[in-house]
Amino acid sequence: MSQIILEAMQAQRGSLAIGPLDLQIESGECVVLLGPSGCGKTSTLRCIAGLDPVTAGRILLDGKPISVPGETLPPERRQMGMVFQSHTLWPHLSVFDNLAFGLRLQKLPEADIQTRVAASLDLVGLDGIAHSSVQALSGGQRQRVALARAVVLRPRVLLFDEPLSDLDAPTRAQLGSDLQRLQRRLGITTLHVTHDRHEAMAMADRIVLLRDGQIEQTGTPRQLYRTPASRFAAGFAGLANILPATIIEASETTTVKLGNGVFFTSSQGGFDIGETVDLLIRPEEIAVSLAEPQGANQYRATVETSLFLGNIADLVLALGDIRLRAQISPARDVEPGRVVTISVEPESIVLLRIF
Amino acid sequence: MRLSPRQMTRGRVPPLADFLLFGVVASLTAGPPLVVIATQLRTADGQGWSLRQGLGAMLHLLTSAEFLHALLTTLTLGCVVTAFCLPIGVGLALLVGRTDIAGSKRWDGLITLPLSTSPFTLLVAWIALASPRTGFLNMARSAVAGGAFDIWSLSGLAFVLILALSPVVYLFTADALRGIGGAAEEAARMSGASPLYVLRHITLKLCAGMIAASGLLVFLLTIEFYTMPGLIGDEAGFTTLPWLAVQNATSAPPHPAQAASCAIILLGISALVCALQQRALRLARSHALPHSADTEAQRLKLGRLRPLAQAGLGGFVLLACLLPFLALLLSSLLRQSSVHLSISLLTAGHYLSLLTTPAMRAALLHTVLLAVITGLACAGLGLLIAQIEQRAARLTRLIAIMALLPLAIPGLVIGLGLQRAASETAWQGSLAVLAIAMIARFLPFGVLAGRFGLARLHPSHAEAARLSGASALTTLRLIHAPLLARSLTAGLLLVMLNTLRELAAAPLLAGPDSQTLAMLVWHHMQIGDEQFAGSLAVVQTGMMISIVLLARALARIRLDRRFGVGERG
Repeated sequence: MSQIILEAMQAQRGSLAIGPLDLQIESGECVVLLGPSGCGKTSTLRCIAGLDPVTAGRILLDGKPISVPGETLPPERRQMGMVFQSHTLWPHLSVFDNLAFGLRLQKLPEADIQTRVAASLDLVGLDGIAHSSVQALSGGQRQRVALARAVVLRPRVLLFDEPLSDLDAPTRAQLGSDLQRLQRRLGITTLHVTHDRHEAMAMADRIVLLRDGQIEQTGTPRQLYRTPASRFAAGFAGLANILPATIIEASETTTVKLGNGVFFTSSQGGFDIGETVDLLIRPEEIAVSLAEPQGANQYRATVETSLFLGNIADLVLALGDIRLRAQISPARDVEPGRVVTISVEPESIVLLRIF
Repeated sequence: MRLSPRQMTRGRVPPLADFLLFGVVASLTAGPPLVVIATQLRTADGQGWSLRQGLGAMLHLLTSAEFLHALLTTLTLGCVVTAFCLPIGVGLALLVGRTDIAGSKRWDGLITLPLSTSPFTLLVAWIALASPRTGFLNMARSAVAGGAFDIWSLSGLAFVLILALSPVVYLFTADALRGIGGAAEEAARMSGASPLYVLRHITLKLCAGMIAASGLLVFLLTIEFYTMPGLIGDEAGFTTLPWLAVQNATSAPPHPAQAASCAIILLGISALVCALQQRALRLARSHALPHSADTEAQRLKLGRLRPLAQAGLGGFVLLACLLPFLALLLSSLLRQSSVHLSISLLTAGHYLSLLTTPAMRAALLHTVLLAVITGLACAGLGLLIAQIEQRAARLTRLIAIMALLPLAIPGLVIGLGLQRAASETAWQGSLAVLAIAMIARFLPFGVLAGRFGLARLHPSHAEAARLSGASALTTLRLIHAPLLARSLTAGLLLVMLNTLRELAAAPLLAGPDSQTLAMLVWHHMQIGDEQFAGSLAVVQTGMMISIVLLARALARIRLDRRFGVGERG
């Protein structure tokens, strides 16, 4: 198990300038780099793998620099395992030979190679296919073999470059959960890159959200979802109603006024009266009922659209001229045009400072 | 609502048009080799058929010293040229595609340049450069150190063929390298392999199928050439199998049965090599990797080896492009060959007579006419065949197979078959029979261009048109054709390019009134008028390079990257 430190790391990928990034990944931790396409997450991963150079700053593995400007420890000497987006198994080699490739380079005795390959295949639930051709495998099986190939060398760090993105939904879900189980079981320091927030939240001890080559926010999945640092983070972490508002009362709690004159109270403090903020309410935090409004954060709203999605109903509600999205579970039939009461707990209202 | 029988799909019965198309395509492509085989089976008096006599005559020829010598020379030449082309082509491809050499795109364009010209022209140029006494290089060399390199030898011929065909291996390997992308190599690096180990054990092994296929193609092209071995072999005293066939077919009196025997053996070798090539291509396809667009392969740092690598690339370009072209240009401006060069030898007379002599003007016209007719016919017919092939009926599949058959048939066999079929008819020596030969030879390029384009169309394009009421033909005209314009243009220009340099079927079919530029180059080289042949070759090369540049400028098409490579025959 190893620790990775990025110290003001900078890199260039085409026109995108990445960094300076400061990040510390602790031993045995699973960190997910999350962000939209082109934000620099794969480039950062490739710098850590030694496949791309850094232009400034440095990368340390267990305290020793492995990438500094003009000097990069080659990938083959970093003792890192990597699973790529497309499976990259070598088609001219059998499953066994794919796994044994790196072990043979280490000049291990053939008996040890046999044992370790079998153990790795067993680890990913694929025992019995060692001598198959990789072309005979399904997409999910190939990615499992790629995973086995990465762990068979007993790497200090595991790197995952969107390994699930080419798979169909059921295989993705199954392999995602297997990856998480495997990472926990092996306890290897892991850096996982994805643009899928569900995958990130399921896998990560900690999520690093990237935007335009910069770290937007770092935190646990819960922190990222519950207390996003910005409008971008809030939107990327999940569905959100984000509305511009003005602080009209600031004490231990804060009351804000929306553009249409509606007031909401948040349990969040530390704002000044007159300050402009973004008000964030997650759709599932809006309770919908037929009772009369009673007290703060409760209003009458009209159902504009109602979609039945199986486990939830997805509603668009008109609160004056403001549109709010709500998700209620279990799904109930709420027909469009119906007037309902919405209520939001003050703890569920997040206020985002505008910079 | 009831549908009339006309409105309903005609079930399993293929439309009459399909049968008609099958007849046309089969006559074009399978007809000539069948005629050659039939010639072999004719009785000695030409009045009847005899399998026994035919096989007897063939056996007699096969055991003759002349045939065995020609066969051995052909196979040796094929093996030697392939053995040299493989390391040269692969080496060049690795230097350009996998190292940090400067200007890799420029090198790529220069290395593939010989594919856009005629190998026979390269020989003409090298004759100007390396004839023992009058070759420019030998003149310069003897002034310094004495001794001479003799192009008029089997090794001289092999040298020119290696220069002409190494780009084929380069092209296949470069394509394979591009197909691998970077991820497979990076995965190996992450498993602990050094860059050189990755190159040897991953990169080259993944390219093995394509490299083998390119080697087999080089072998096939080498053994099918007859104009080049014929020209050199007559002087140097060797004969190759296709040249033996041509000699028998064109001697007075002709020996059609002997010519047919040689052609059938050549056809057999060609079929065998094509079958092996298919296996190699299947291997290459099975090694295809999912391509990640944003993962480019890492390039090896050359470091101190950079000057050596640049010298290697520069040396090849110098020998295969630059020197030959300059020699050709200089030779075409000389009155005659001479052991001493002087200003007084310079003349523009060859070019003037090329423009003013009616026979030359006619040859120019024939060349252009033939290229345009063949190009249009192959592109149109190819698209039609590719389109009906999508119906996946037995007959349409058969039509497509028939249309691609010429890929495995040497041009010499097509030439011999059509020569026999047209002999003593009004078609003999006409431009029409030349056009038929060219269409038969290059129809596969049209079909492949059609397939290439159609593969990029989503089936829903046609389905939406059919649901809107368009017939299959209307869909082809209004939906597919405009969307296919780029592929069709590529197919058209590629066929034109190959027609311009065709020297496999043409020498057997062209008459006094249907001469082309390529034929005239061949003819003037045979009679020893190297300077005039040079001027013709310069014009021919100019036309070919213009087509390549036009394709690049107008439609951003790299013709040298498309299906056709080299010249057969």
